[in-house]
Amino acid sequence: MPLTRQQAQQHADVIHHFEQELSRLQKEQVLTLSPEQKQSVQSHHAALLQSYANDFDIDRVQKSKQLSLGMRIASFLGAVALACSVFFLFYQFWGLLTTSLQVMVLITASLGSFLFTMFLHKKDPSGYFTKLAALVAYACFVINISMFGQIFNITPSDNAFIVWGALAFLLAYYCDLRLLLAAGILCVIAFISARTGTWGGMYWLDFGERPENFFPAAIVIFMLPQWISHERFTGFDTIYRVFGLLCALLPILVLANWGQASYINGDANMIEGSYQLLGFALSAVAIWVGVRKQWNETINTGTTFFIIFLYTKLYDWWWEIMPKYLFFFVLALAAILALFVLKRLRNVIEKSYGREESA
Amino acid sequence: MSIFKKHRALVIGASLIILTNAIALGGVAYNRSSTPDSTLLFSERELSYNSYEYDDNSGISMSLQWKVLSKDIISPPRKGESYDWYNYSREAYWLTDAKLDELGFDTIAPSFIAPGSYRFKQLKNREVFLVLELNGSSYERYIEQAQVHASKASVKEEGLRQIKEAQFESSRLFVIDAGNNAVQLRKRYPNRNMYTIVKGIVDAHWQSTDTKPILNAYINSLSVSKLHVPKPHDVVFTAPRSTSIPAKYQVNVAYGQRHEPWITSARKSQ
Repeated sequence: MPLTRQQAQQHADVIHHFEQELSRLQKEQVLTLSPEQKQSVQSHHAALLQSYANDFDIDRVQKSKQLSLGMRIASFLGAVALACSVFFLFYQFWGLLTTSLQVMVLITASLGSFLFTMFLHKKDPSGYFTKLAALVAYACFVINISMFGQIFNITPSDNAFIVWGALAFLLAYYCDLRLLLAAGILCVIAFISARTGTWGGMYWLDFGERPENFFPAAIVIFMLPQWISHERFTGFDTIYRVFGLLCALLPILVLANWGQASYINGDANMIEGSYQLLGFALSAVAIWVGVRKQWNETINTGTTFFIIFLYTKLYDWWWEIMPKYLFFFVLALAAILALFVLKRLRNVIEKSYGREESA
Repeated sequence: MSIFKKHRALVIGASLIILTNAIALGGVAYNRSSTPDSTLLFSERELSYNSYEYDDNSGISMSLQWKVLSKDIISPPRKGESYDWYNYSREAYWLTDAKLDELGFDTIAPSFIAPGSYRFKQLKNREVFLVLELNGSSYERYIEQAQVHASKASVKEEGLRQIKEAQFESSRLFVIDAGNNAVQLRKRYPNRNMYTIVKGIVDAHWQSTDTKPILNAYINSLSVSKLHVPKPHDVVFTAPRSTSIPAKYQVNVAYGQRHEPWITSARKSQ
């Protein structure tokens, strides 16, 4: 029995593909099932799909699946709009309240929206309305703490990221919401980077001025799914890996073009050159690891950044000295070369898959 | 099966929200407990209020206006440069290499900052304790220097305007010292109605010149420079007034155990 809606939907999709392939095999007289076997398989699948529909509100046909995509988009946009509405609603009226009332409203909104989300999750198997409520609950908590800072003139602190991240993770894992997982990961990245900057002796709010502050966070985020299994949460490990890679490769990209921002005391050109090399190397390693572990998102992220580093390097070398038509022609050739390399890589993967199948 | 049983997630989440609020409010209560560390009476010159910011925001906040006696201000006037221009500089004359060393900055020039070629290296900025002085000797010197610069101004009216601005319009709040230990700073500046100790950011960078590397440092900002105006004090700023006449008011601001401010009273003045 699958544990999440996504797993149930995936199984339902596999069943539909199986039915289509079975029908084709029967037409081509490759496989023939007896009437009893056909009836048995159909009854079993029908019962399974019915139970999935009852428990998880999955899409049983293609058209409803397309509508579900629209519902997911509407749910996301609605959630963001509602969160913004809550924010501006408070701003519109908070000045009319005494300090005690402001505090009461903030805490009540925060706690009340969280409790409502917990209640709604049980009643809403599809998760669309739960996502709305969870985002609003998270927005209310963020507003709660940040408004306290404004009302009481509190010195800004990076500790806020920890509590915001904690609530985001709790809602993400309990309600199976990848959007809130992303929010939680961003909070953790901000906190670790700010603390790394503080330990290095700088003011925490300026942690972005030293991109190397993001490297410890990148390692933690990327490795977390390796240390803690996320089998029961579809797509969570992908999000961790993508954010981990972005948290490493984006700062490297910045340092590859702005060596003065580095902690390293040295000539800016040397620092930029070193980070350019590191960027190429890390992108290539990401592609290699992605291929080995069959992590598509890792391959795609590594490939994207490899191309970005390559293009910025070509720009540095040739933009000033080449005619523009020739420069863009060289870029196109580089893209074609990348295509050949990736095609070759794909053939290698196909061959190894074929060997595994025959074994 | 969900990784959290329903009641466990509920308890954890509710506890997180309640505990966070309790800690935040507890910190506020501690800051405002006992006698304030300092209490200063600001005027509209030190605390500015901008009504145009508040179209969709019914809350009112005010911004602290502060200055430093920069190296340019205390230096003799230079031809072609305006006193107004010097006001933008936050490079306090007292931010010497010795002071920066005391604050924890690395005052040894990096080897790649060599004379003769342009090199720049931003140092890590630091949050330290700053001493703010209200209507003290730094402000008096600021007015004196305005008169010195005005006497050398190429346009007499411009010079008179600068003196008038220094005497009647500009902030009288100056950052005069910095340190890592608030207790020691308070011993050095015991008058709690003239000096307040707050947290702020000091920035520094190395720059090469034709002759030698130089270390430039400046006061970047105060950690808390905006003050929320709670009820009932907001009535001073929301009552109708003529927009052509600038509002004049006095605001009592207390700074607590955590050096965080709050408004204790506000009134209009003539």
